[in-house]
Amino acid sequence: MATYIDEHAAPRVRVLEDGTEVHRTSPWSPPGCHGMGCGVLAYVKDGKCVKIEGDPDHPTTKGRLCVRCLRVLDLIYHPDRIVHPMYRDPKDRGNADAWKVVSWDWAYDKIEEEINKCKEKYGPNSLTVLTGTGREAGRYMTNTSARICVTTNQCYTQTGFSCMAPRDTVCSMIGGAGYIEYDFANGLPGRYDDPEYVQPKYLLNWGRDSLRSNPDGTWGHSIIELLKRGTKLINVDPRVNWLSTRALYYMQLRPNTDTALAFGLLRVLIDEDLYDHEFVEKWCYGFDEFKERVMEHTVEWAAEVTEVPAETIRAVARCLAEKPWGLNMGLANDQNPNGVQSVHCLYALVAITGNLDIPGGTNIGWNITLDFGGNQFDNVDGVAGSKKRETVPPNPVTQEQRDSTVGLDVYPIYKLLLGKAVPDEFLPTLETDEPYPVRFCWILHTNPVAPTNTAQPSRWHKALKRMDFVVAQDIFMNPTIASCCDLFLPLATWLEHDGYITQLMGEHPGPVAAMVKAVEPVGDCKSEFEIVHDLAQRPAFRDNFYVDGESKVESIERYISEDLTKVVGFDHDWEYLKEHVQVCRKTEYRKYERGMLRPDGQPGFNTTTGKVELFSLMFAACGGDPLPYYEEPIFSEYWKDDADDLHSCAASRFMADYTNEHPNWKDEYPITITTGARNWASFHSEHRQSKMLREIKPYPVVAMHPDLAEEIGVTEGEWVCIENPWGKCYEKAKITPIIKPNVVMADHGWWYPEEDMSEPNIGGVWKSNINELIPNNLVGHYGFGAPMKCMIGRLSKADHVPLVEHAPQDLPSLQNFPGSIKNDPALQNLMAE
Amino acid sequence: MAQKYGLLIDNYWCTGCHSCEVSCKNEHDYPIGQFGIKMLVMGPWELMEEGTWEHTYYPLITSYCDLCADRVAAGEIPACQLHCLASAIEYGPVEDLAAKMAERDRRTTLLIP
Repeated sequence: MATYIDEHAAPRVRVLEDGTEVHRTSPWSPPGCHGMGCGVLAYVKDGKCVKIEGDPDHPTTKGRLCVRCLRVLDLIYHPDRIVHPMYRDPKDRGNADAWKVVSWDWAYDKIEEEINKCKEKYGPNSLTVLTGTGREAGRYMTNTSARICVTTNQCYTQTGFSCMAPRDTVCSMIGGAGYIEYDFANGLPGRYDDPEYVQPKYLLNWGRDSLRSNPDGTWGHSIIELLKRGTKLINVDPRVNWLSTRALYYMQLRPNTDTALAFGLLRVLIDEDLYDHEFVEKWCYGFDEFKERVMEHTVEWAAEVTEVPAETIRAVARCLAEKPWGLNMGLANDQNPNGVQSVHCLYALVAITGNLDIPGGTNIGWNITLDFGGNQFDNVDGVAGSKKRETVPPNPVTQEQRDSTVGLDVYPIYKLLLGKAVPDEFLPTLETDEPYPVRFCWILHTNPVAPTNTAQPSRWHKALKRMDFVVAQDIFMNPTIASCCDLFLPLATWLEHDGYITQLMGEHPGPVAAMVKAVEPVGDCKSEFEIVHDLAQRPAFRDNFYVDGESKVESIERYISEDLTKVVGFDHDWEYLKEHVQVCRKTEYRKYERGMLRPDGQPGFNTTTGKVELFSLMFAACGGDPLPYYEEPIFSEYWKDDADDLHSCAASRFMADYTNEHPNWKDEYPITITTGARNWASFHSEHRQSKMLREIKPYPVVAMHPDLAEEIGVTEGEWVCIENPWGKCYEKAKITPIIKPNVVMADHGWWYPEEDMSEPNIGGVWKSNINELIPNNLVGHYGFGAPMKCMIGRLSKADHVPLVEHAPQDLPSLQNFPGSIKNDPALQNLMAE
Repeated sequence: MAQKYGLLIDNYWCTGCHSCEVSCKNEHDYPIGQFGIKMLVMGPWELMEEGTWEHTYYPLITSYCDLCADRVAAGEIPACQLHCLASAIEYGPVEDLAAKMAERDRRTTLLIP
């Protein structure tokens, strides 16, 4: 394996005639984004970043940059950004006027005191660290949970852990390696013109809106690059979105019926003998059993279930018989109680057509190098294809703590990649103290009261209020901190600290990017690393970070260099990465033929059988069906209570009760609600403070068909009430024919920083809180996948205007926190606006 | 006659990302509500042939567009071209762009300030 650099790239820093420094760097978070590591030029004058542009020398992005980065200075120098640590007495929670500025030393003393108090009172695992989607804090979260709090109850709060982990877990169970991703020549020095590359004939884009979000850390507009060069697109989405209009075929499936559609495609490939016999015989295990399962499903059945015409399914399957093609598999597979099975089918689709790891096909990833579920992986050697070395001393949590992590007894699959608390089990624990109390909470990089990833945020809101102490790290006040937190630790943004980014969380080749500190942090802000570093110096935590008297977190340079040793095939230290800003790992094809997937260096896959396990021994070991199966979405008129023990899940058990109690629910709630579609101008619940970004997207919208709009009597832009038995919220009508009349798509992540931040309003977070309509624990068999894209509800014209609307330039701010930029006389010259 | 310059927009591949609008505002310090280039959208609607759709983005320049004269004078390309996520904007002499346009088989516009 090798790395390469662009020798003609500009130096990391150059100085213009007027003294302005131009820094080449890469963003991650905060403010949030996926870990793509786009190329950015930061123009710095007199210690202030005055301009952001795209870096033409980035090997993938080549100067292109989205609006979130183009307006990042709105956030970094925003008057309301919190830049000094603040404390508020827990009895004053919800009072925006009760915060006072404290020193970092005072904050650290308080954290240590509260950790000790909680442990003494409630036991060793009574502390939790809450995390959000894959942000840079993920590099440090296990230090915070396992070495400072010394707890295993680290929890990613999304119901069903419905983001990346289900897809990643299935890939590791079936293929014994990392995530599979379409080949866009990202790890080839000549990119699309590289002699090793083959232009894909097709790109199968399945439930992923890559253009807006660079999902999971990949480069979304590589789709456009491929299409311009002749690749044909096949798009799978419940909307006829823009990509569908540029596709050879689009399949507008009924939400959450993905597994049925995949079965239909597999059936055609088998019926018409279009699969790759050589690959199947040599590299697949259990094909006969798999085939038998596929043969239980006809194409006509798949067409009826998914509402995709049978002739389209047949035509698409015939395309997929032509090599090479790439699979772009997205979040819609995670946000589905039947999603583990759709990923299983899609992996099989790539495998039996012989497209795994071939040029222009679908590449097999290395194991994840983001510290995704550190509790489980920490200090575990022999992870396939990776050479994860210790960057920190042995994890001080006890085996007893690991065993008592909330939810692992219910869902053993969480032990494989994650080893952390199961979100849908953890919420009841926070509410009830069963099986034991959890009363200290550290919110690392998430906003669980906002409608972003939790089910029923009002339950999290109440549960967090039960905590004895809550500390949170962020750059702005948000509804969660405003209502539930006691200590605010202000974070440095990506312009203000060092770090590094590996695309697709280290699983795929292409640039490893340096995030290089371009300016000093505003006020007293510190990076996530610095907070860990500072606490590691204290006697209470010191032993958890020192080995033989040597600190493992003595400096960020040392920490990154050691962390980089976990990145497969990357034999460089921080100094080298920093100098070159982007250092690319080269793509390696057919790794299974070349002994590059197994720790023993032998050809084959790193599974029990050495093959792709279409019949999955790992699923069987986790108490499930070794073969994929289709489950009708629970909120469907076709759903039946027919699951046996091998297939039943929390979602189906819930629905059995619900239909008994409410046999006529379909009459009352005839609309299918999908959520979570991405926007150019925001990342989940972030970016709402930028007026320029609010000019692009001022308020949340619910996309609906003209027939539905007419039925409920709303016109474009009017406020609509969306409700179901669990909650209601308000969004503005966006009328569009691209969605079916019985389906709507409602924006997530919305709250209003321009509103009062005290209880009960807390930034208007309950007004457009679409997640209130999603009950907790409607998850699949393995505890993965919640129906965030397949809920029920009804829509009506709002009987009142839920909030005062402002033109973007007139958005007010009622915030007046003592630790904000606007209240620091020394920072007035930095302030935006 | 002096050489005229313009922008060639590959509308078929424009994904509607707004990066041209915002990078132009950054370059010229235009406030909210003011634009040097603004993206309009055609559609989406279904065409008469079932399953085919009209949905195309049209970035159009305003009277404020100066083709990034300062950047160009400094040897750089216009801000909208640099940042366009779909690489759908190209700056150049109108004659060259028109020649390219003539060879395109997809929706394309040539914009001259």
